Amino acid sequence: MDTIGRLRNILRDALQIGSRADALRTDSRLLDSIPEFDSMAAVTILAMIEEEFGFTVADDDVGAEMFETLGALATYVESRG
Amino acid sequence: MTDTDSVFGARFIRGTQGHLFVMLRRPAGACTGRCVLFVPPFGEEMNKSRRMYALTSSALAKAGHASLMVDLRGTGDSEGEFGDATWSGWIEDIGTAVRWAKDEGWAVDRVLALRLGCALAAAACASLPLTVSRSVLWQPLFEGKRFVTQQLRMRVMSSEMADGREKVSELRARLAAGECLEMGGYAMSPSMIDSLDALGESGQAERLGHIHWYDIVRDPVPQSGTPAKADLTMLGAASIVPQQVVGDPFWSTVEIVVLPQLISSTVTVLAGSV
Repeated sequence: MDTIGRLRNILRDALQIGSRADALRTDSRLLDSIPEFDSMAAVTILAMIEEEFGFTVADDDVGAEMFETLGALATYVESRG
Repeated sequence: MTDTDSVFGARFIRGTQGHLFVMLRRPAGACTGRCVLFVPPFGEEMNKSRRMYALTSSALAKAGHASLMVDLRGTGDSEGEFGDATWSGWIEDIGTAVRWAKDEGWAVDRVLALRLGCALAAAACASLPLTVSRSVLWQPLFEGKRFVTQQLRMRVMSSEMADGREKVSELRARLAAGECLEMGGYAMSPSMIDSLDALGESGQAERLGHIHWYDIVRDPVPQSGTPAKADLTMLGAASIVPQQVVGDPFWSTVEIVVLPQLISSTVTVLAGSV
């Protein structure tokens, strides 16, 4: 499964959005578009990304930019590969 | 306050730094005189999980067992400010509550704890004259650094969502400089942060007796020996029985969530000889 697919699964589980996750595309906005997306959800997603992809998110990487779109999040994850 | 199976009592007792609110539920009928100590999780997770603790307490009483819970200083109805609380102070509070229960005729010999409360329970058992035969740990969290990182990240994300701009490294620097920071609605002192950061660096769970480790998962996952062998060694535990319960993480959900299967399984362990 590609990065986008794995991130969709993480978002589905962390945000409990079910089939709505299937509709997310690379340009789908996350942070200010999904009602369930609050600060606690963001932290949960980061923890799940760390476990799924096997790296630690650097302190100063944490911020709104990485969650702007699904594509932005995937770009960040792949940059840490 | 009574139901048909239990008697619930709550009162203030004198702690080392102010009054502590303690709650003890005992069976209405005959019982052993032994008691389960409930150790709360950190911050808002406690408020989210009170219902689970209350229902478990009632179920234990129905099975003939008492349970003891204390609001640690700076939390719940106990005196003090959260920002002034220290990890060692909380251990003292647990000791105060346990001694009070003993004076009332109830000997603590088992533990139920949730998330970071598991680390606190382990630290208390290691520091206090307390012999625990078995413990039930719900979603244990022993790595304090990871918890602190999550709290800092949550603050950064909250700030960014409100059009603010903070960095985790800057927050860490402010804590190192002695500043108390609000995280998740709670004032976190540098002392508390230092104590949490130090958790998980050595064997901690030797005094928790036989541990039943519960992971709460939304979807069942194949259990490959959770916790990992490395965790067992790191914790220094005598034995760990991994369990898995499907359900929502009730300590962090928006609505109050109850997991009946977790309660039932927990009571079976704590009340029996499993």
